[in-house]
Amino acid sequence: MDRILNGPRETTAEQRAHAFENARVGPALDPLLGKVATSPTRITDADFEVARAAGFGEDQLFELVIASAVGQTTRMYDAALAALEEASG
Amino acid sequence: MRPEVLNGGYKPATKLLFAVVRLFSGRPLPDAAKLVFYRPDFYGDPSKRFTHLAMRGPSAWSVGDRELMAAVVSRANACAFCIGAHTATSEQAYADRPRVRAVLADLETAPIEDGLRATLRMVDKLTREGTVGATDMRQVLAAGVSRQQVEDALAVCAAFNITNRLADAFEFRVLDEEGFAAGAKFLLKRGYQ
Repeated sequence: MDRILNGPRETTAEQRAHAFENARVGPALDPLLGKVATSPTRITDADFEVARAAGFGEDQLFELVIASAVGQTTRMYDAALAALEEASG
Repeated sequence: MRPEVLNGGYKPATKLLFAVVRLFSGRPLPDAAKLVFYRPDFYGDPSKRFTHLAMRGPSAWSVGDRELMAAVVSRANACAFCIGAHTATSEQAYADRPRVRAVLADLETAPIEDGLRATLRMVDKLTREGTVGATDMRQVLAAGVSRQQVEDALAVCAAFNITNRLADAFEFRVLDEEGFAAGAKFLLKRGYQ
């Protein structure tokens, strides 16, 4: 997770943090990244095209898609661990 | 795959490796395997370590159980590539195709152990709904599953919730039955590292 959120990359740490948190990154990216988090089977080429047309490069999209996927999964994992802790207590 | 850089943006040595694999296996490397070679410091290397530990590391769950969990998670996400890959790998790991097919057809009536059933039910709910509560976890523990086994199952669930999302976002090419069987054989021999 540290490698995704920190360090010099093609996107800013702030952009990756927002993608990770499923927060707004920008109007050209939000449809794509929102689908990565909640409905990945609905992602289309058009979602990538909108982001490219706004100036985002291939490596930037690679980084932000991964940050979004890892962020959503981390929230699910943390919620499940908290439930396990409560059930075990 | 999309974006295009995931098709051709690899280092020359990596492209050579892909060509060698294709030459000897007669098949291109599956997209899931190619992805971890792209900028591996960002995603591929830590992903391989985490997934291999979850799927092949020490656990009271068998390899077949964990591959079955991966298949159930993938089905909950409707991820075609990962359903095919981990259904095939679970079937080979158990050497029992009917067992896996029964679980995927109807978890509640499949002839499996109560603890595994309760665990599969929990990871399915977590994946579909994004969360589970203490009541869900108590049901798993009451079925005789240890706390460590729950944590191990959650690691599998996490690994494949990431991979499923990337498979659909990056549009992994879905293989035919022979392709998934060949991939399963490789995963059982070499794991995810």
